[in-house]
Amino acid sequence: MERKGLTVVLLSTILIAAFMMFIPLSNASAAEVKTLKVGCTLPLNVGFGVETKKALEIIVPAFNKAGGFDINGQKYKVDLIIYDDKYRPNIGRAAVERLVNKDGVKFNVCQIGSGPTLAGLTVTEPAKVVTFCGGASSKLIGPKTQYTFGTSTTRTSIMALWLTAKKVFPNAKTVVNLSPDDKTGHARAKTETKIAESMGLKVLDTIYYPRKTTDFAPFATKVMTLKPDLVDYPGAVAGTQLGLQFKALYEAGFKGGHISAMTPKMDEVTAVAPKEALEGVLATMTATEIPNPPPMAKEFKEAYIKKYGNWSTASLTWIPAWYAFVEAVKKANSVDPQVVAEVISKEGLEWDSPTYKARLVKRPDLGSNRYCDVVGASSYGQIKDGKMRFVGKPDLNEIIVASEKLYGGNWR
Amino acid sequence: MTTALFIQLVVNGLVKGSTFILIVLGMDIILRGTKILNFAHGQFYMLGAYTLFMLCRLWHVNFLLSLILSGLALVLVGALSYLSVFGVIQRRFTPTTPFTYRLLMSAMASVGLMLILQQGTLIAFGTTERGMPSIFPQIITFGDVRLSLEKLLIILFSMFICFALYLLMYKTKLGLAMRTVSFDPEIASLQGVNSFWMFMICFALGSALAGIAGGIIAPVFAVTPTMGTHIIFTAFLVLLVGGIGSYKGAILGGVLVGLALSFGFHFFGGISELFVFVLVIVILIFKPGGILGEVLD
Repeated sequence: MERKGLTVVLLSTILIAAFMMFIPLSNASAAEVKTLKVGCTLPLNVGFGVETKKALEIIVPAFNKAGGFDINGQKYKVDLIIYDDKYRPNIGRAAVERLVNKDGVKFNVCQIGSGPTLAGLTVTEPAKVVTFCGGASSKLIGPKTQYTFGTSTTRTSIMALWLTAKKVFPNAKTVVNLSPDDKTGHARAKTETKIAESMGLKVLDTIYYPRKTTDFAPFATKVMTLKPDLVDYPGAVAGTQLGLQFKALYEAGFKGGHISAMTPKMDEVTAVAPKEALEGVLATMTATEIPNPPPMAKEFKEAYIKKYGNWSTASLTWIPAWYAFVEAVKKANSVDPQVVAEVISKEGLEWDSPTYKARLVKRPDLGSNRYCDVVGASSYGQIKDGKMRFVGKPDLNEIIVASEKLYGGNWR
Repeated sequence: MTTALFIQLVVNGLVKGSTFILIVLGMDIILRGTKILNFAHGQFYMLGAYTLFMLCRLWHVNFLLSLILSGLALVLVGALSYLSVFGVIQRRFTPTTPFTYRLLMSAMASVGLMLILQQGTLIAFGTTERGMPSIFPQIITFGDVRLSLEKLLIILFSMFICFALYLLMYKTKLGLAMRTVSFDPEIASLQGVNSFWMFMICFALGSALAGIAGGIIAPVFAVTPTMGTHIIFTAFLVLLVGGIGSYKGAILGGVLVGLALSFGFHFFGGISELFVFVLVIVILIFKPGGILGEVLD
């Protein structure tokens, strides 16, 4: 009898101990990887929108495969939901509404173009959805926005382009801008005009063209009557259309310099413009193309070529927004958008991407004393004999100091 | 304004106008011959451009052969479009069907065709603009005036096509038959002309002209799935300016609109297209059928 009782006690103890061991295991498996929905709208009716989607389809799965986010022991993988905004404000807004109201995203990344992004802000700001976006308009980061962070260097790092341009074209005195006639083109032209003038150059005119233009002969004729030393292309699409502009100016007899803040898609540009038309074009060069590229840039390029069989730089202007988002969540150690917005607005952010190293800055000149805009250490190159050759890369601090001088205030 | 600038603007305008002439001549042939207002005509222009791009750039076929093949491809597309869409609609009309009703029904069908062709091209080729190297990259200079050889050839080719079309329409039996059918299909039938076949030939020929226009433009600018939609509305303005149903009007309208756009842009910038609309309104006030056209009843 006593032996029976002892057996029961022993068995019970063993069972309880086993059960106790099992509970932590259950909790461990109950700590499942959660899904963090992140939204994105892209113009899938244009090449750079499609390229950005293709790039994100490499980057996001790689991020998830590497473990995703680990926030206080809770793992998150990202489910990136991409909708087409056709580069139009009304469609962009509708897409963002769907992301926020139906899909329930709390973060929005990689939006391109001021038009659709500004329209989307009317949804994301009241809903406290943190947006890392690529539009050029200053309204994206003005005092009325709290959850929007500009990751397009078009507002600030154009300074870097012009710092380089002054070195490459030291005798240039006059500039004409050729810009698309939309919000982005106007915003970019305004920014680049201000910077060019701060460098002592005179902007003779800004000539606007409809976004879909392919016949640039009339614009080239007008440029020739103005006789500038340089032609700048604020807001231009970096592929075939840019090549057609170079071609038209070459045919019109333009012999001055060309400056482009966008990285030309060399395969498209060289397909339409003869080598002579491209000689000496100064343009942004992504980190993937410079001699001895950084590891992140090299890995991204290799992964892209492996997946798609070819290479395109078109997405590199827009994907830094993703990397900013990742660093922001890590810095805030939270997936709560309110917390993320507060932390990076107060403390700033630095991040690396295949395109460049970047840093958030304040914009007191725009009435915004939070960290909201970006400065990036872009590289620049000139086209020689049909190929981009590295020219130089201004220092991040040099760009910030020059920007502070131009726009005023303390950006750091 | 200097003389060189004036001449350059005229040359730019003539290049633009030449493309419009080819497109609008095709529209006129279709409208006059078959009484179809074809909004898909711009897509035929786009298809001609893509056909030439594929032949020349991807398959390395000789440019001239590619241009001929682009035209022939659009003959086929035009004939099939007529057989499958417009011919079916026209067979439902009776002699008492009002002209405006016929025009409206065919116009609506053409809008559907336009959307199908544009979306099909988007799916097949994607959204990216496609460019190709110039076939004739040389630059010709006349003093301070510069013109690329390819653009000069556009003007000359357009003139050649106009002349060839004149010979076809006014010096051949086929042209006589087409003109008879456009005047009155029933009378033409009584003369032994098969109206149905003539309608199809008119449609195919008009489509071929649009395709050839697209083909000659492809190496000069870029091919995009939306290039047809972009040009068709300006082409309709040219049609209105020159006169609906008038071949000479198509030529005059093309030249006038091309020059208006060229000069208009230079002096008024982005609102140059508005300038063209104003021109159209002024002309229509004084000449409701266009400069050389007639008011269709």
